[in-house]
Amino acid sequence: MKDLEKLEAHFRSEAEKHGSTPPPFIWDEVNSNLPQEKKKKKRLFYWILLGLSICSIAFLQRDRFITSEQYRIHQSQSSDSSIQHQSNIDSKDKIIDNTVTYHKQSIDGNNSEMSSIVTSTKFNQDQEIQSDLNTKTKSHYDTKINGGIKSSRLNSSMKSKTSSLEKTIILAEQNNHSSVIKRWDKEENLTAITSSVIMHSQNQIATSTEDIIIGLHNHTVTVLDGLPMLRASPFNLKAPIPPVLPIEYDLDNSAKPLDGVEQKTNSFFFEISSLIGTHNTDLTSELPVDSFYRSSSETNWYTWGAKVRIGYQLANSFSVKTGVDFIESRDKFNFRGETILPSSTQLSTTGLRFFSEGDLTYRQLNIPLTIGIEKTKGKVVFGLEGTLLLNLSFSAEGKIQTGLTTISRVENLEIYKRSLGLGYNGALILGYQISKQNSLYFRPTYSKYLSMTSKEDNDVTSNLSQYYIEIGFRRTMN
Amino acid sequence: MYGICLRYHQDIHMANEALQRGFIAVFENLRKYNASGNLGGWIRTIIVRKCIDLIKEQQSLKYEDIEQLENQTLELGDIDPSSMQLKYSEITELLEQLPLGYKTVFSMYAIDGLKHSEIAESLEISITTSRSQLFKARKMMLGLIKEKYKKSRMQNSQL
Repeated sequence: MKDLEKLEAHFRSEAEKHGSTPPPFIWDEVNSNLPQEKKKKKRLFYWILLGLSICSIAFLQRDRFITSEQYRIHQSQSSDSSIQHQSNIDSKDKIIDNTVTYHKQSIDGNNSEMSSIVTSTKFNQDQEIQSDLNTKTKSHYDTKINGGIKSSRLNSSMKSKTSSLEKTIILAEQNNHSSVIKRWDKEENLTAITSSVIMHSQNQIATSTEDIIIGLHNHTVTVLDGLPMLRASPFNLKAPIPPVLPIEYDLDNSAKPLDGVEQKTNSFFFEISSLIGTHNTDLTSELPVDSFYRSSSETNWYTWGAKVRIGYQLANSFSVKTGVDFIESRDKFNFRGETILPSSTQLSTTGLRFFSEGDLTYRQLNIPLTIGIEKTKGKVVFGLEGTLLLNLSFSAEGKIQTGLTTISRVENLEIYKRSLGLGYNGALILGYQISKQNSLYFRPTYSKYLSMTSKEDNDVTSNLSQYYIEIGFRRTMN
Repeated sequence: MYGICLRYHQDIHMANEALQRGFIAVFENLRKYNASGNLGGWIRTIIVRKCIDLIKEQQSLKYEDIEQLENQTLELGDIDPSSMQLKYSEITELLEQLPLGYKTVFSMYAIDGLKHSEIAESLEISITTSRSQLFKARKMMLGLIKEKYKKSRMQNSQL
């Protein structure tokens, strides 16, 4: 046994002394395998990050969305009311005109209401402007959303006329949770926000907008944060219903705020969509036999992707948008048991003896610039759009098992370009308006890159084009 | 390490594949390496295991228990192993003459220094089977060496 141990020790020592150098491509193969793993992990990380970002934004914006949704008013609801008070007082405060307009509307789907109080106060040292204000000709209110709270403000056309006025515009808003009063100065800067907890009426905390109005009526409203509330005299219930919510309001023609017809305005929108379809690699070669072998063994399997866009919709139906597109196309090779002899020239993917099985994935990251035109008929939207694509990143990789052995290799890292430059796509637009702000879209799309996807020095070249249906959701911001 | 692969796989493509898989596994598991151990030995073990995995993928290794063999003695007789001075190429030639199962176990134990428990785990056999296979492989290897020794003596005497 000792002889044997000596012999084996000799074997070990000879084996350790003996060094063999592997062919250099082995290290390339190892190298190309390792980054792939990292890339996959990184990619997964980015997807998770994107998902978390979208969820975070949605979470942070949920109140805004809910609030905006609540602002949808049913015109038919009869609980809307309006009160306007106007009085001329020559007091020691020299207030000679004090107008309080109060209007209240119920809010859809909720036992909430929104009320606004607009007060204007005029001092007697500015008599000319006083008369101007009294006539209220051509003055408009416009509405805005500030942090989800609808506010009414005098627009800029009034500024010059009210430059010497101590103008106060107050919005009182109440929902299930609280009342909020906002006050702007004559420059239309928001100067104070008060809530019910600090607003007292008749020595009690005002818990509703009505309390505040009654307090105004009785001169008993006080605000504890130092914001002086205007004095008010008894109301005259004669004012028309003002348009608390929508669009512009002309006091001269205020009885019917456009009969509930939605007037199209310029607006920003946000879109998110996914797509599914197929593609064509359009293989060509100088020697037809080369592309024959490749195309014989290749099946254009599927294309999928996701798009995120922000855009601006003009009132005249044109829109422009941009964002980020991620699209993945996959080819499949399935030749188990078949033998396809290659030509003597290199095949574009392997250069080995024959394809067996595997798949090849093309991934693209694009920055699009889209111009579209849409028309709306009822709730159906239709139109056309064209997009100029800038491909930022392109990768083609896969694992194709080839040859008589089970050697597997990552393909195509050296064969395809890393970015494709410009491309274009065209789409039909078919949409459905779920609500004023939300729409669903279906877009049959054809997309193509201007340059070859493979490097020019390959025997077989390819040019990727895609056909897919995009399904998207659009949210329009007011 | 490539030498190890070539020892287990005559087919150069298979050796390349084994080396590639081995180093990928090394890099993937580098965090698991305990720095107090022998890095070379750790890599060697991984490479050997990948070689074995590839063999198992390609062909089924059949091992049969051979009982009562370990009582037999294995001696070289009048041959002095130190005087033989076998070169590496000669050793691999001898190894190639062994059946695949014997060659694998012999290489793992006698050359790459794996324990029976490790061999048993890699080849999915029992430790007893590993021992008996090694015994048989050693016996056959001794036979081959004796034959080679006789031949070389005859050649020397003819000169």
